[in-house]
Amino acid sequence: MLAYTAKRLIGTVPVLLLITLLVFAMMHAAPGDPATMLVNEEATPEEIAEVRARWGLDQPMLVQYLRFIAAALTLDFGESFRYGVPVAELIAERFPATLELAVYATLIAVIIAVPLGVWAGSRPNSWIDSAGSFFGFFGISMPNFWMAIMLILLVAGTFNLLPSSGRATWGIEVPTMTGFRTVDALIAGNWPAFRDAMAHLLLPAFVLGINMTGILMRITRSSIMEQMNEDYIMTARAKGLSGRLVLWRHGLRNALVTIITIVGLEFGALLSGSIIVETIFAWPGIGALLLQGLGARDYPLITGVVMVYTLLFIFVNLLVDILYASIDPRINLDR
Amino acid sequence: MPAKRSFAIARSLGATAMLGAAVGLAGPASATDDPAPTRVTVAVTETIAGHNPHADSVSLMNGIWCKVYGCLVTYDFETGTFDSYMLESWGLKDPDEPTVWALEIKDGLMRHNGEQLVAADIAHSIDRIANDPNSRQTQNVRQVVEVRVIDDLNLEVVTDQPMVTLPTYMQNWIVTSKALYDEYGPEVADREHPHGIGPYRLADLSIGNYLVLEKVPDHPRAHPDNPDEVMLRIMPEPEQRVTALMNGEVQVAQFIPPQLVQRVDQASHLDIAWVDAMEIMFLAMNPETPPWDDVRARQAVAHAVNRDALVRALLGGQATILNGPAGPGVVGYDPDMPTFYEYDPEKARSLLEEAGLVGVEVDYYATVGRYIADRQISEAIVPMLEEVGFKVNFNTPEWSTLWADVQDGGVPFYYMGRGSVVDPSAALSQYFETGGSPRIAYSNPELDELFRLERAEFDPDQRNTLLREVFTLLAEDAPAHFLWRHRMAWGVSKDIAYAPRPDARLEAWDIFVR
Repeated sequence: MLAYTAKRLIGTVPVLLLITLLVFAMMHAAPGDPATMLVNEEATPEEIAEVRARWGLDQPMLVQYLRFIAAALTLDFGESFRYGVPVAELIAERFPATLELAVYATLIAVIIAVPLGVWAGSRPNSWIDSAGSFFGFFGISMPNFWMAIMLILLVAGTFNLLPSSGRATWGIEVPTMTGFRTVDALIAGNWPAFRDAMAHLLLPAFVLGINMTGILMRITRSSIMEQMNEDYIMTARAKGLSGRLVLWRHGLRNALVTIITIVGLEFGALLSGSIIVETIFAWPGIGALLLQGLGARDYPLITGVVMVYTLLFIFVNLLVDILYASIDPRINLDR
Repeated sequence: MPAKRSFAIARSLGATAMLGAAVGLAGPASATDDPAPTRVTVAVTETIAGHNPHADSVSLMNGIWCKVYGCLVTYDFETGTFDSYMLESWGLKDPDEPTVWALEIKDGLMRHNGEQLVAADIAHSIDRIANDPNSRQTQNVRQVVEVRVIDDLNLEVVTDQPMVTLPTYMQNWIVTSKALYDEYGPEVADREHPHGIGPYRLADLSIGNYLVLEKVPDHPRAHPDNPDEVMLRIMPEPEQRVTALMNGEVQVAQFIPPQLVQRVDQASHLDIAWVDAMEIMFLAMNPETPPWDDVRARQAVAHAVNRDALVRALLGGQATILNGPAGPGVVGYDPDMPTFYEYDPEKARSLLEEAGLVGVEVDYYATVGRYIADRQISEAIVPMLEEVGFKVNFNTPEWSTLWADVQDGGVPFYYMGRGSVVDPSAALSQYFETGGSPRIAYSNPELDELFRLERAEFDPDQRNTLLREVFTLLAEDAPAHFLWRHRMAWGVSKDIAYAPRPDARLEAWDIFVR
């Protein structure tokens, strides 16, 4: 297992290099000039040229890339053009918010989709299956920006049940330990802060997770249907095990490999979805930061955030692979 | 810091309590029996660049930093004059030496940490605005060639040419502490010691996210009814701002788009506060690119565009049509100037026929989502132009791309705005004086001379006369067709009184809790 993990981690290095090179190349090929976004509208061409030189934007793309990589080796991702502070500092401040949102979105998706999919798959063509399928298709087909605005209007607006934006109410403070406000509040035993954090988290997490919920529900359903027709299920039933035990212990366990694979893959889609969701809900994560960076052609910020997204995606998929082995003893990662 | 009662969120708390019963979640804050500080939260669209007060280039943030650190002067739109809580006096040292300004600081102005404001702070701040690598305000000190500190309360500022408009720039000179800078360096001084002389102190700031100001007790410029705390929250989406305003999460929301104005207006606990923005919207035509080298083509555009119809149909009537580059409230504006361009498609077509340009192909560029209804307005302008004989290729590149191309002079014909035009000299010079910028690349020696004269004219009446000549020449020669100034809608809770400023600066001392 360790050898496998080390091999996979070493394999991320060329992936990161390639991705950063692609991001750099695409940013430089795209029209627009970061220097013009950095100055006031009263700036003269000379002042714009000065800014370009100050940030090294007058250098060839390859030189800029190599400088970036050389600095990145020491975990220095440069200074944000737009905010004038180190990119690493900005990401460190914002990343826990994105991760917390993504984790809760995944939890919501798993908690809703897996039981629903199992029930639907175990009773094909029943009303539960029809309702589950409807929910699944609804989740898959709803664009999250539309869902976000609708929920803001209804839940935060019309019914005034939850806050429409932000991560917390200013003034309700908890000591930062994990970076997850909900967890930090629990550790500190600060219930008002926990409730406040959950209130802010629910809507964006639900919107972010709704698409994954739909997909996961459909996949769980079909996996369960497939498993329930296997010989070992018939054997289990013949041994006199209850239907519930057969379904949840044997059927679901064997369907989990597929489900976990989909969770891992969908986590990537969820991260890209967080860019929109964070912006709409004014959630202070790296997704909203990336969008701000794109508008300003903030190359170091864009590259830094893309690197973090890539690393996170690679890490989650590594975790999924490791989970395979613990779920299915037939899988040996070291082979 | 303990939880504080947000001002005017009783509705929100009540409704959230219902949810609390249902799912165990609390509202944004909890009430206590003690008198709690009043907090007004303002939802804004602009981002907050950071702790460095010179790193922001937007009017909104200039107003904020001015209230924390202090700025030399502020413009009073009611009187049309500059006011100052920092300076005892400012003006030319000697009328015969029109490049030397004498500034005298009020005695006894103390920073939040008890340190006295001195002339060296102003000199230091001017230097920092010019040379800080993260400064986005260099244009505000571009003409300053020397600063002489005479004593603790007096200094002289020398400009490279006579410059009557210096106070316009001085309102953006945020004055930070030289002593704190020398002791801690820029980053630590800005982050950990943001002590100014303003009526509010910086309590918290999250880059690109939010900012909180706390009122300085007993500050001479702080009114008892000004809120104890002012919070700025960045909410880029209009629906989000309006919803937060409706449910009491925020008490002021910047820029309510026309389609949402009615919703806010109909809410019993909210008002719409209208303000004529100082941003002028125009169609720029670069005379270096045919057919815009022919004045008749430019004038044809001016006659072809039905501004009344556009304002009525697409802006809900919420814009003030411009007659030339200046509107009410702008220095030099004359309400009695003759009308330069009526909507007259027949005249537009005859101008094109006379120039032999009927059917001429032009590339037209417009922004999307940058200005109110910008795409819809441009989509309506295209058929108006085609009706009189232009063949229009309509382009809507993303803002970063378009702006970079405009800055380089690579866009021949475009719809755009120019903000903060109170004294029009700098803005018009930048776009229309020879060498001002490549954005339009217009050149007219007669206009250049008028600019030179008005900048050096310190008599207001004489200067107004010169400015009106500038306006007339620009309107007649039409390197740009000036369209309108938007009327901006701000949503405001009825529990507070707030009149937004035309220049979009957010002045915390203009907010009052009823």
